[in-house]
Amino acid sequence: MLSLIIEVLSRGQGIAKLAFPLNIFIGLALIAIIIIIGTQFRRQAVVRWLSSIPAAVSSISLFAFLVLLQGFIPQNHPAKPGLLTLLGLDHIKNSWIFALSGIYLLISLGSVILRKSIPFRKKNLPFLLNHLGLWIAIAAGSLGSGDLMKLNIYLQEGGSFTSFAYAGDNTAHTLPFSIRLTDFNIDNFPPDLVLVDAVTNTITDGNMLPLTEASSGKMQVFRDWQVTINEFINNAFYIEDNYIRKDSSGAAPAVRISALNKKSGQVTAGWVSCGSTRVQNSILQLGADYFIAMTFPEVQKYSSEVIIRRAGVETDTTEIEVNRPYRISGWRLYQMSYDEEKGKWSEYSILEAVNDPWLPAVYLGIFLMICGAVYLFWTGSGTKIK
Amino acid sequence: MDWMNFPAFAVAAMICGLVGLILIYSGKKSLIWPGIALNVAGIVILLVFITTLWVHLDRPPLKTLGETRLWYSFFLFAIGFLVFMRWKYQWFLAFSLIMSGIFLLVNYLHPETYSKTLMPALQSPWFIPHVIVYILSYALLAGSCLVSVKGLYLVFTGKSGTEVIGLADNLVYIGFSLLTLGLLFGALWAKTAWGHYWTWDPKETWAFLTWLSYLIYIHFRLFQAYKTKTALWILSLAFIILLICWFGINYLPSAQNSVHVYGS
Repeated sequence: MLSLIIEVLSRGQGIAKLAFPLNIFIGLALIAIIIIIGTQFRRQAVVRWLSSIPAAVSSISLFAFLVLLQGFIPQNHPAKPGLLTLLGLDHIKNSWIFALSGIYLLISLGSVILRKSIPFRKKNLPFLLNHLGLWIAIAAGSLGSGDLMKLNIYLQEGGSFTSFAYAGDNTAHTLPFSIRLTDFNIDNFPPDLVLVDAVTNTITDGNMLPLTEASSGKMQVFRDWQVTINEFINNAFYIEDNYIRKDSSGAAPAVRISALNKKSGQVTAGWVSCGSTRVQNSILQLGADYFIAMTFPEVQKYSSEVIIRRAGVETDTTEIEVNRPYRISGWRLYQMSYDEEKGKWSEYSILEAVNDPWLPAVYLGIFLMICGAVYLFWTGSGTKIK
Repeated sequence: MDWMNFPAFAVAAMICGLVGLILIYSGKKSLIWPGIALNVAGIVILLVFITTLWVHLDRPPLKTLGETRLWYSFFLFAIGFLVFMRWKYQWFLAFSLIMSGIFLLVNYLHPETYSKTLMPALQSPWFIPHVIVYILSYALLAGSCLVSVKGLYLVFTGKSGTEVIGLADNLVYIGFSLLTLGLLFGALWAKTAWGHYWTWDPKETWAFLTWLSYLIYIHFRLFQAYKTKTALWILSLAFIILLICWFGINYLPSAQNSVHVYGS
């Protein structure tokens, strides 16, 4: 109730993000409150209740209910603030009600951790791993979210060194290192030839014929037709009814095929290409009901070759790709995006630089919880059943 | 060794598993150890196939969907066996053997998926453990949901339902521990792939919600051990939330921008 009143009073603006050092103070205050009420007032009914299971169920339920609302109501829809905004329901994770329910959860969880750890007993260890791990992960994750920096670095292929990066609101920041993009690469999966039903415009089930430089001469049967690959060009342009090899920006794969109808003996031949923004696409009609088409090549891997320079430290040349971030002085650099319209001919790359000073604490919490979960897996509920 | 040899290995492993299972179920003491030995043989057969495939491909066979299903089959079988050795749950061994067999069968029936592409974000060492623990956990929690429905039926017919809830508890505890691992592995993976361990992506929100639901069940059982009916209802509802997280998410308006909605 209290939190709803605050939310309405603040006109649904939610809580401003807590940044250093305020979040440290709040975290310490939280720990102090838990310790003081848990040691000085542990006989009080309210305090005993806070560390009880009903308190746990009620705090988890309240928290879960708010997460449930968040699961149904689209979050962070800007413009026209209505009742949802006023009550904080379209920005739940930053709302007062969520914050207060989180504090209730942390105090309840903290109280029970304290009660179970003094005096320390070995048999309570798994309990403590689970509960303390959760407490640390939630506390560090939420208090630390204000200190999290996520910045985009825009790099042009062959451009100069830069140390500027931009936050979501376009404010510029200076990184403690500078970076230069020497090359941006995309590997594609080979495109496939597929048989399409001309009436429903859907790919018929079954066969696919992957296309690579090595697949010339390969054959594949699609229903009544035997399709042979005559020539495959990875980078082609469409010039005067023909696809011609040309390795430059905007090129698309193209393949010349012939199809033999096994029933009638009729042969149809021609070019097939998925096309691109600069290259016309082509299909090969087979009778009235079907045609052969090429699927767009899907991205297999994209990566940026960069040189990273830091004052007083030697220069490093490295490759950054999805799932392989690069770590440098507290920052992690991620491959984020590129010119999707140009695809493999993209001339720029966007990296994301992330700095999260609270990460070690969150990882400690996660690590404790993993240990606790493994133990739980091993012991189960401890109930004996037939 | 390549996929041409797959059917022979799969059939051999399944026969070992099934015969072993029947021997164990027979209840005769003299037959239990041969049953266990046959199960071990089945697991080893799958392991041998994976190892030789690895050598043949000259890369870990973790890339395509068919290859990941092969690992599922192996792990399901192996974990089912280990849990049986630890807990003496015969039904668990049977359950995981069936699951394992289904995955092997899917691999046999849909060999064309061997060449299916994986988008870059999915190409990670976390992919396998993250998905495997989730699949196992969902399977166990599905089992707990079946138990809860049975329990509710017993309550409806005037019985107490307490006779089945112990089984539900065990399934939930094991399933929940795997659910926790899946969630945490996902967080660690997200840090490597997307730059942050938690972004309140709709799938994450619902996965967290699922986790909280089972957390409520566990705590409710601890202090209201005799309110069986309420507990059974909580358990059934928790599984509905799990299903929304698994399938329903694709249809929710709040999830249209989720990074977890794959395929078009």
